[in-house]
Amino acid sequence: MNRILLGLALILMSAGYAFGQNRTVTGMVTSNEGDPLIGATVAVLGTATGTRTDIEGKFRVEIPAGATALRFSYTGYLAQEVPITGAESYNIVLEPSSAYLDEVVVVGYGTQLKRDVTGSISQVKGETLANLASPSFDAQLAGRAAGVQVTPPSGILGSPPQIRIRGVNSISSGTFPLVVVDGVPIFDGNQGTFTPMNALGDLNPSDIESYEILKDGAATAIYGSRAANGVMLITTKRGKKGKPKFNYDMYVGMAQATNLFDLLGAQDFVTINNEKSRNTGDTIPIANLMTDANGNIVETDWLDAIFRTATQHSHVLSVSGGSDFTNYYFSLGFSDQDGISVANSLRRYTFRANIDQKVNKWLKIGFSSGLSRQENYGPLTGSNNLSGNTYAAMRMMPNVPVYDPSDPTGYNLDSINPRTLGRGANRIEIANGLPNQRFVLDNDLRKAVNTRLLGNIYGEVGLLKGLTFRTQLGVDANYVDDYLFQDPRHGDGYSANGRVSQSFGPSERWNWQNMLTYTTSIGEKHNLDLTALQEYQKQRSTFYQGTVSNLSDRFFQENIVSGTYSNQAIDGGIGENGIASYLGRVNYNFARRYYISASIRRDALSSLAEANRVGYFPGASFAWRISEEGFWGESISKVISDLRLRGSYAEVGNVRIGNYPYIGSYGSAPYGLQNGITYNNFGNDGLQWEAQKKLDFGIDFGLFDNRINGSIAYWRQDNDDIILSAPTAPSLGIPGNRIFTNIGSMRGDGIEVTLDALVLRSGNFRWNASLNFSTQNNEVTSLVKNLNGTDQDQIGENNIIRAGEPINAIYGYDYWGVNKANGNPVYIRQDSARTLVQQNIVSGAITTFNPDAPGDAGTASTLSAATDRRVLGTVLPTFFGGFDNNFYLGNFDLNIFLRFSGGNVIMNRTRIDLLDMGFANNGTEILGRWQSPENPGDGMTPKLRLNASNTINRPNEASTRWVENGDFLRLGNVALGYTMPKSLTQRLSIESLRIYVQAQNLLTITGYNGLDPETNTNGFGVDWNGNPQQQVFLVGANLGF
Amino acid sequence: MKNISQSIILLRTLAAALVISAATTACDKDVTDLQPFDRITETAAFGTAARCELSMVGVYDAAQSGFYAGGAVRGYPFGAANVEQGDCRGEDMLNVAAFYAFTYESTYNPTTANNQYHWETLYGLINKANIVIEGSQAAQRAGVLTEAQAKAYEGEARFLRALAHHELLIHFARPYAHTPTASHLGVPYRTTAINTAASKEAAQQQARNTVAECYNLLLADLDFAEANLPATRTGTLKISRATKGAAIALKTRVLLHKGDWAAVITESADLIPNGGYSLTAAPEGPFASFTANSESIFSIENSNVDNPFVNGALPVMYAIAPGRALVAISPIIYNAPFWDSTDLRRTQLAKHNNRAYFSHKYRNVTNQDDWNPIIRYSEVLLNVAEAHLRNNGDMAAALNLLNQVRNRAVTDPARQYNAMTFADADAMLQAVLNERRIEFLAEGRRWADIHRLANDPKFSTGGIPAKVFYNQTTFASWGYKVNYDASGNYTGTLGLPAVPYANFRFVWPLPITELNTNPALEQNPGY
Repeated sequence: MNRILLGLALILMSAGYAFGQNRTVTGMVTSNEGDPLIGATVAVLGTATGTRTDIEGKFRVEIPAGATALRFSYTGYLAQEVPITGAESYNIVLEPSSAYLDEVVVVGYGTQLKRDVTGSISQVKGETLANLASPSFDAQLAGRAAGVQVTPPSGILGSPPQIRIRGVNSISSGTFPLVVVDGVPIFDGNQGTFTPMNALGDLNPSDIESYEILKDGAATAIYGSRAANGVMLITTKRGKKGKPKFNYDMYVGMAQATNLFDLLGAQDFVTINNEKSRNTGDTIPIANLMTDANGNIVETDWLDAIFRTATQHSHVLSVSGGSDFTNYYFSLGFSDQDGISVANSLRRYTFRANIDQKVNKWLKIGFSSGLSRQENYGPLTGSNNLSGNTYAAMRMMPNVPVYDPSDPTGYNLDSINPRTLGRGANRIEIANGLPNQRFVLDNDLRKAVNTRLLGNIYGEVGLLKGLTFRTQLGVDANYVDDYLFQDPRHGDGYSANGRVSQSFGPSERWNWQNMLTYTTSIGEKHNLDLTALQEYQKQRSTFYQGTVSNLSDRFFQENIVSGTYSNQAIDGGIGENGIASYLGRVNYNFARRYYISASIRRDALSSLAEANRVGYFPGASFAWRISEEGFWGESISKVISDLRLRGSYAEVGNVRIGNYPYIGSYGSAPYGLQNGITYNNFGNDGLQWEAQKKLDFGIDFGLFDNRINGSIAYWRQDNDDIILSAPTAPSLGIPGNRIFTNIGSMRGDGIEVTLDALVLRSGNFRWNASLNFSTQNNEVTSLVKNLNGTDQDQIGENNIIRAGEPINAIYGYDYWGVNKANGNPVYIRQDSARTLVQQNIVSGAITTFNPDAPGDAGTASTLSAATDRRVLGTVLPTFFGGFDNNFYLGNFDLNIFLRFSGGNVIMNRTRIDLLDMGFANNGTEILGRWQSPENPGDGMTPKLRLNASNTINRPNEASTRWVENGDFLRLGNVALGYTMPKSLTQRLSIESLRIYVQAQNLLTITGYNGLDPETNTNGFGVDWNGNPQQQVFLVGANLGF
Repeated sequence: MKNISQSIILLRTLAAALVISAATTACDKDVTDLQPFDRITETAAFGTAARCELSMVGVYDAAQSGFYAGGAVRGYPFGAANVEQGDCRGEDMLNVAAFYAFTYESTYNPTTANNQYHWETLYGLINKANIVIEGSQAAQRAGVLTEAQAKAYEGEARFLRALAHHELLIHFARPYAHTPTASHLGVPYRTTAINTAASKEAAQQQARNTVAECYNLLLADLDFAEANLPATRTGTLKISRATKGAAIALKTRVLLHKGDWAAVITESADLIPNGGYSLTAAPEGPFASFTANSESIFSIENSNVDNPFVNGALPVMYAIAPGRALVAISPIIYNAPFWDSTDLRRTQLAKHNNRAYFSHKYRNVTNQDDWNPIIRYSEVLLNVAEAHLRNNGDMAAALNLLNQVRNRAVTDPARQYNAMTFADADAMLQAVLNERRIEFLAEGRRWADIHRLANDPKFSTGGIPAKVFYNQTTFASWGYKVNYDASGNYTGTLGLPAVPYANFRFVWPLPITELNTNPALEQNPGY
């Protein structure tokens, strides 16, 4: 610092001597946030004259005669040219450049300058997500980064979003990216048993400095065997040198469903259900309108009883600061969110302390620690659970009330069969003995509570100049406490006379890293960076669970209480895995023009047999900054200020393969009260690593003095030797009908485009925009071979894994419509003649159909599950992206964030349930049913018949009747903020204050008929009774003092 | 000064090296050489006599609680599902809710879960039985088991293997008499353990055996079991584990399906009357005391902590509230004139909830621990009664056996059968067949009888009979009468038409999961 000041003084002095007769101007350079910029460059254009700003951001410069303009520049900010006028003083505000090149990016085991990164890394700033009301930060990553597809499956708080980095990269192993917090790989996914609980929800978004998503081989190879699904690095905030900064961030808001079902009202319910019944030959109506005590017709909107407008609020208090030796960051967070579904809530308490301490010139120690507690309450949400909240919501009868004061419970329960919803004036009770869902939501209890310690401690020793040794011990300890209570009076607890189940599941992981790094520059041109690392990690997950039933009294529902039940069962389990790794890495660049990097990692994984345990994972990359070449002239620089080509290749692996897939083993197998063990896994000592080859080429560019920054990348990933849970013929009786084997391959590729721009700046108005757009293709290229050498299809209810098709494509029948003569559904066979066949809704018999003579009985035919189905579409979006806009006008700021996705289809399984033929409510689509040849309805909805869903709707198989386009454009976020002017905040003795209003998920444009095009209940494009998404409106404040 | 700083650097470097090498030696094996704590490796599973016993029990577990979709336990194949499927394929029990609709309405196809998991779990059971046979033999060679012990385990395993294959045959193949020499397609009868790549390769070549081959192997298995199983066992194991009597009893059933009447009679000689079994005094005896009674020959054990649970357990599925009452007794049987109005089975073993009659054989709704009766002494009696009538028309012998079963339920002597009741052997045989429908109601036996009788020249069921379609009408409109008076047949509508024997739906399809993975097996025609 002193040297710089001395230099500055010299420059000033020399300038003074050379141009003694020139005039002097002064001024101050500040950031857009009002902070002085120290050391900003002030150049007098057309001369060699210039200066830098001092510690208060002030400058003083001599201007030669004839000079016309001043140029102000500062790292990370957009340079500004100001014409010289007669003024003596110039106060300049510099705006940050939207993606400045000298920014630091966190990479695996270290950081790099953004301009030096040779891999594909997307960075999302912590502040982007910090103020968004959300159950967890990961849901808000949707649309924020190219190549990163995040799908929030529903508005149920606690359900983890699906995250896919560059597509799907395994067939039967895990596809979730590796998540690393401050260098420690952490647990992810759902940790709850009775209600979902997202492990990533334990992190307080306000504590996060940045998210880096490593995508290509160059970026991920250093994570070797854990990198196939990409890597997400999360860096928490640390203190910066300066006086303590206190921040208080809060918001309070309301959430509601973006969309709910269109259900029949009481009159339509009666009409439709009597028609269902009449078509079976029963002439007495089964459904009747009910009148209440006041003589009014009962009309119940069950959606009101099951969904709600919910309140959510969050508070974060943090303090950070630092001295020459110590810096610190502490925060306390509390958020309390109610879900839009009754009985769903999430409460989170977080505490974080990050400290770095310089002990002396060569030793630095520190720690990062996060302590959190997450309490998740949830309704049962299973697609096919009779007490599932959406399953019930669409079926509860609208012509009976929710409550009945005359029932001892206060709810409308059936007087003849008290395990079901009260039938009211209907002749019969609701189908399948459905309980009163509101009773279930109010009285049954499901929760998951996680107490978690996540942190690390490190020491860093300077050995020689440029050579550093660092050792770091990290821990992720989760203590999940699950709880279930089912009320004995009604619902799922009725048969068992009440049930309590309680489970405790500690999962602990430690991670120890020892790292040597050597950084040197030779002659200012040759920049070399060497890293050697050893890393060990081990985890153990255990649980034990007690379940008791036949309760003495439902009073004992807060915890298992000894002696309050007559029936008890206990379960437990344990699993471990570990990995031992060594890594070497070289980064070299010549004059920041030519870059080359290479790394190799050796991983040994406990989940593989000793002979195959070790895998080597190499990666290499290059980059060439063309814009640094001599031939890159001044004129082209003005347009293309930065241009870099890069490419990389790596081989990585996937460790999400379970704990002991290779061991042939016998597990517990009790037979009634007799203890037993049984063959439970077909061993495969030859099981090997899954191997993935990642290839990536890209161009990074900056235009117009880096006012626009962007990159375009093409990637391709070849997954070979996939550890396939290969289906075996069930008649072989192999446990689980599968063998873990290295067969199968899959390829993905895609293009990613990212653009960041300062679109407009005019006076005190500014518009920053960033756009990302990604494409992805996926093709399964080979699978287990049949005896005849063909690839063996893996067919599920709605999905198929077939070589030559994208993974888990929707597979089903071609639906033609309804036979107008008799209301039968008509399908198209996949024979060469595309024969039309109709299914008799009574007998289920299949006969041919002639549209010219629909009344003909036809001849016996078949509709074969084996040969009459085809691939109906891919479930993976082929394109997706986001468009983020920030507008600033004076003290106002406005954010508009759009995201989009498309190219995929959705199997709308929910519609089948909405058209169910049981005695229960339906969606309004059923009004279009066939009634008679004269009144054939919408041509798609067959004749009704009570309890004949199997023949009318074929509910367990997809068909074109249910498959819909999944394209959508969503207005993800709109926020308007106002920052108090300094004059006001100073008077209030505070540092800063911003208040804002915000709306999330305000609008979705889609052709999809279900609740939401992102509802995805099986993970592969099937929407089966998913929960609605939430729309949040909130007001918030960021207070600094 | 220089020396000091050099030595400090050296010291730091040494410290770092020490940390690294300590880590290397301490950690590498610790984190990578991990063995499971929750399972025994296959090499150790037959290492001791105690573990051999555990592995044997594990085969019963496969019979009791095989896997269903998503890993759920619903009592496939013999924990409960054989009863539920066997009943719902017939006309005497009545599907009320969506649970068994595919089976009841015969709208199954190769993707339907019920037939898929029945197939899969039966073969899961078969392979586990074969593995235990191989494992016990190896344990004998290793001196862990005596020859008698090893053979007893093999007998147990072969009994279960036969039981499973027979269940497969009645669902996935046409009955024995379909072709003159039973040369039509049966199922693959598997007798080798599939637990290595080589044994898997070999087994994949095996096509469907003919029905005749299957019956020969079935009977060979049961002969071996009879020869090597203990005559009886202690405590509840007498019923829940295979015995010599169980092997004989099952043999009478299999032989009846085969139409080998003389052999049914011969085999039964070791069981009737002095095989150690007898009818309980009351019809509800085997159900009220399912763990210990004189009549149950073999049942699958369930317990309060290990059972087919809320979506499978017989009491939950069949019983009225607090049960879920998903399968009722059909008015077809309840109103049948041959079911005497005073029959104790109407009162002891049925209950109504004002909308339908439901079975009261399975009662422990809260604990869900009712055992699943696989074969009872009463079945052996009726098997043999039928054999006598068909073999040589021995009406006296048959009447005695039939009356043993019937008279404990129809206690009024005036209503009991006697030698004058029946005009001829055929009339009595009809009564025996009717008695089976009443006696084994809600035990899943109806489908087996429909199957074997489908092409019977005189007593043909003709295929899958027409059934009552449950459209939730009220109790009264069903024709039920609370105080039953045997005045006539069920006269209500039969909403589900009969499926003739010739129709492809008479046999279940092989599941799509099998067809996709096993080109060696041929699908049943029509699917």
